[in-house]
Amino acid sequence: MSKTSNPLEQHKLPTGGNFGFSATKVEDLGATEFTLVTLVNDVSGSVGSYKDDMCETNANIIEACAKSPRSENLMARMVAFDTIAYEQHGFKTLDDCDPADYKAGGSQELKIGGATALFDASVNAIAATGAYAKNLSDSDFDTNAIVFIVTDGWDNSSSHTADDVKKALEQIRRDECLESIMVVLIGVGVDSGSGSALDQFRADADLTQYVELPDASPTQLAKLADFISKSVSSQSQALGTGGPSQPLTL
Amino acid sequence: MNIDCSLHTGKSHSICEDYTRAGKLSDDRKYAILSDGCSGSPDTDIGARILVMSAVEVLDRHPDLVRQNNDMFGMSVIQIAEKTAISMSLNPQCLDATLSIIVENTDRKSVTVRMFGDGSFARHLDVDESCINVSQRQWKSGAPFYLSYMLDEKRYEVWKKVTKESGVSVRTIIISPNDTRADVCKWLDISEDEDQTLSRPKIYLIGEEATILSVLSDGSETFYKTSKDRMLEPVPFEESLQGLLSFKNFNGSFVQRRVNRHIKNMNKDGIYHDDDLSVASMTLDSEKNSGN
Repeated sequence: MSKTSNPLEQHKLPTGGNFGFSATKVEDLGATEFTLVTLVNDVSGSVGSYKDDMCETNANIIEACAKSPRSENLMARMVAFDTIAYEQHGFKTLDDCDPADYKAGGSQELKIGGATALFDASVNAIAATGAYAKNLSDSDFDTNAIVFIVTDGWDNSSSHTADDVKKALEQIRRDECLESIMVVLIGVGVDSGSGSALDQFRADADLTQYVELPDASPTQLAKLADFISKSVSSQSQALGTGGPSQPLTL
Repeated sequence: MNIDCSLHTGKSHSICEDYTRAGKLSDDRKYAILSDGCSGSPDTDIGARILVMSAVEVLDRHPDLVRQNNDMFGMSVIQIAEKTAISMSLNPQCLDATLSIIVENTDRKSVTVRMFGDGSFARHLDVDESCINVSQRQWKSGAPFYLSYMLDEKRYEVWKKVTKESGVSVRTIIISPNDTRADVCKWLDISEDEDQTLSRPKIYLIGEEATILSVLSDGSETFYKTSKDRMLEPVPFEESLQGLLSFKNFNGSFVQRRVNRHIKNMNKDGIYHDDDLSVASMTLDSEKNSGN
């Protein structure tokens, strides 16, 4: 059974687009500082063969974050993209996230089908992080952020471009509401052509890091869950230092 | 009703000699307490902690003592603290520290505030939410009252003599969190009797006389900016109060968030607090509550 969550508030984004984001009301939060974590999952048709393992990976990431010593200072949001990008759930504290919900059959199960709106999802994830960080900062909460974008291929469906992703990141850096933001692009079982394109996307959009998994086997996805949860922990521990954490290796 | 507190080591200190604590007593009454240890006495970082924990013990075991208009509460606290210090082989002078308390009364309808020593007491007034009334007390000799003087007659007599010669001053500052204007009254010299009165309990009815009560150590008065010629320029106290007490919201760690942000903003401008700083607050309005 899902946990009872604090109600989330709907927000529009300054970047426009079909959807904004939702998040826990600022007045419902009690801690002094937060690391905003966003998981962006590619759910295009090609992910179908290992969908259940990806769901398990998400559940493991949420569970690991909930066990982290910094769990009270973490908020998670989940975005998915196929032909369009959409929000699975908005920013909420780990208390309000039940790992079981992310498994196959759970309320946060990934639904597969369609093309790959990688840039649209990236713009939304980054812009929503910046917008919510501004709300938090206005209420005296210190914040930093980490965004993971997991994909098995190249964009073929977005209305936004890699340049728009870069602009969204530049806007966040200009606003100075976040102490630091890391954006990690993760290619899963991509061929060399897509891998090169994704690495070029990292460079063009000024993302923090591009890492690759050779395939989507349960062993590799377990490594992915470990990498993401450790990166979250590291970035959260860096909050208050003035800069981001050092990127980890996969 | 919510409680929270915030503690920061001053720029000139290697060890923080303030201590503050906010929590619940065994009967679920809430409290917010701070203590400011004297830098010139030994081990006052530990003494301040012992004093606060002794106060918690007395509040727990003798719930109504704190609101009695006599010395019983202070004596009980310092006697327990002395025993603890001696059991730890510490010089009882480690207890040379102020003690400021905000505690919910057993009637659950009122709150008692007591301040032994210097520092400030602030009330967010419910008649005008944007208005904060701050009372500040200073011993001109630089030697504020410590409960520990009551353990040693000679020290107490010396302190009383010095205080009588130099005097005690109080002033009121009215500030608004949303406005940089402040109404700062002149320092007023007070008599020994009036000074004694200030250490007496003050009772506030929940939901009627104030929305938030706060106590601040005198570190809040020590924000300085280093000028180009390397001179320390003090920041007007009313400006510091405005920054420290302009709470944006009242859930969870509301004091820590505000104080952290104020210090961060000040540091960006090259402004630092020289002395240790502690702030402890309690919200009295049911609208400003949380599940704490």
